[in-house]
Amino acid sequence: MKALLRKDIYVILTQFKLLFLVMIIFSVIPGGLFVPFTFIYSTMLSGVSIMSIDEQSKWDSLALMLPYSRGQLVTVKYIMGWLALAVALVLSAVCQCLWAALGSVPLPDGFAAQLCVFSALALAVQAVTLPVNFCFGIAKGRIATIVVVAFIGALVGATMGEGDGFYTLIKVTSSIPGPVYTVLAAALCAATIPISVAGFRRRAEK
Amino acid sequence: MNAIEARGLSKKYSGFQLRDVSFTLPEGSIMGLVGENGAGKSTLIRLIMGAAAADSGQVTVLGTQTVSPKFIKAKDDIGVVLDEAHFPVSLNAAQIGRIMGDTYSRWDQGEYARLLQRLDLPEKKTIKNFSRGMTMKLALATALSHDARLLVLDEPTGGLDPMVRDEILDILEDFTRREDRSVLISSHIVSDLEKLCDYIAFLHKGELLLFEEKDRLLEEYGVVKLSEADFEAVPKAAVKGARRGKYGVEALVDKSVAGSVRAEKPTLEDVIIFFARGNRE
Repeated sequence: MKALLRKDIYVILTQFKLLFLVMIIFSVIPGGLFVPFTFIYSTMLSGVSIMSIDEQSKWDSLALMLPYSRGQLVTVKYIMGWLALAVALVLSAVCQCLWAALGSVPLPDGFAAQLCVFSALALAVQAVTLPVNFCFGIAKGRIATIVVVAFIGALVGATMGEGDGFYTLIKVTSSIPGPVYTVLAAALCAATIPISVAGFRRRAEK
Repeated sequence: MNAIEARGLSKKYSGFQLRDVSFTLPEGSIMGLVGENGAGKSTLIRLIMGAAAADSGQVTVLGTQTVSPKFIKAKDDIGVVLDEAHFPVSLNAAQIGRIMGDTYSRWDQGEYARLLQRLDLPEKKTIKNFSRGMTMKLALATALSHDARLLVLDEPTGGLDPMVRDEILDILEDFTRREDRSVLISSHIVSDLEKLCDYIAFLHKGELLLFEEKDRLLEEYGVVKLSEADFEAVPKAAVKGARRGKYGVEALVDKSVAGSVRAEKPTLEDVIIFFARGNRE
């Protein structure tokens, strides 16, 4: 697993510098409006982008002949998403707290709970997109990813359009402790790993 | 112990079927796998490496069945080179070395560095800036730096110039100097296999037409050049394949049943081509 993580981190660092740049820019923007987008973008793209590079280089054909299990080959993509989420989470939290400390933009109410809910949202998106990509390949998976992101964008847009709808939603969801959402979404993600492994196995047999 | 034992291997894909392939490669031997494009060489290699599951039959590699969970650990003893590097092109040789160091328990960084130097491969240049020859040499260096007991190579010399091919064959010869090391190599270039191999397997349209020791193969069979009339006198059971031309018939015959007909020693390419022709007819 260490080898696979190392390989994926090298790929991210050499081919997706832009991902980090976008992550940093959106994390730094005061007010935290872009935090949900940053979380989803980082979590989803880190796994799926590496998968597309793997597909281009036919890495999987070689990897299946090396001492890695199919489970490891799949799980590493989830872990890469989680690592990217952790980086985005820390970056956003630090930046928004810094803005608040500097007195420019106050932290929104229940900021910590919001971060948990946004993390849960990012994990939920990963729980949908990764199995789709593993089962149907990157080309079809990309379409599914766009549909999911567009749906979430439309949902967020619709709630924000309704006066304080977005914040009302946050308030409602805040009645349940934020970490509960994160734990539930993480469990959902973990539960989809076997589906991804089965999809990966089926595609490798073709 | 045998390096590879395949028994009744079959695998069906849409438009292609590998049928009932059986062979045994003894430890310390080199096997050349020959066949035209689409004959099933890569499919067979995928089954041998456990990258795909057979519909029927089984393979044991270095004493471990490929369907066993233990086979993942057993792959620590196997070096693999496919027809391309299959590494992400943004990486360089130094990064690949570190990844492989975490992959194989007996990875030898010193040996890897020595091979990179021998093969004239830069450590920091990204793979996307490598020529095909350099890419294949890098793949070979990674397969040879963890003290593998079995090397599996799928078309490693395809599309390479003769100098690079020769360099790769030299390295493979070095690898097999130790008696417990075995090689399975597939190639279109029969002359490469003739230089290197102890055993020859010939796959044709998903069927293993031939699996034989190379020396025995070249000893058992002969090429005859006869007139049509003389050719008619050769026992049909002796003829493995024939080519009819303006001036007579050229054929590969099994010398043990061909009678007194004078046959020349064939090249491996003769044997393969006539077997394929015989199967077509």
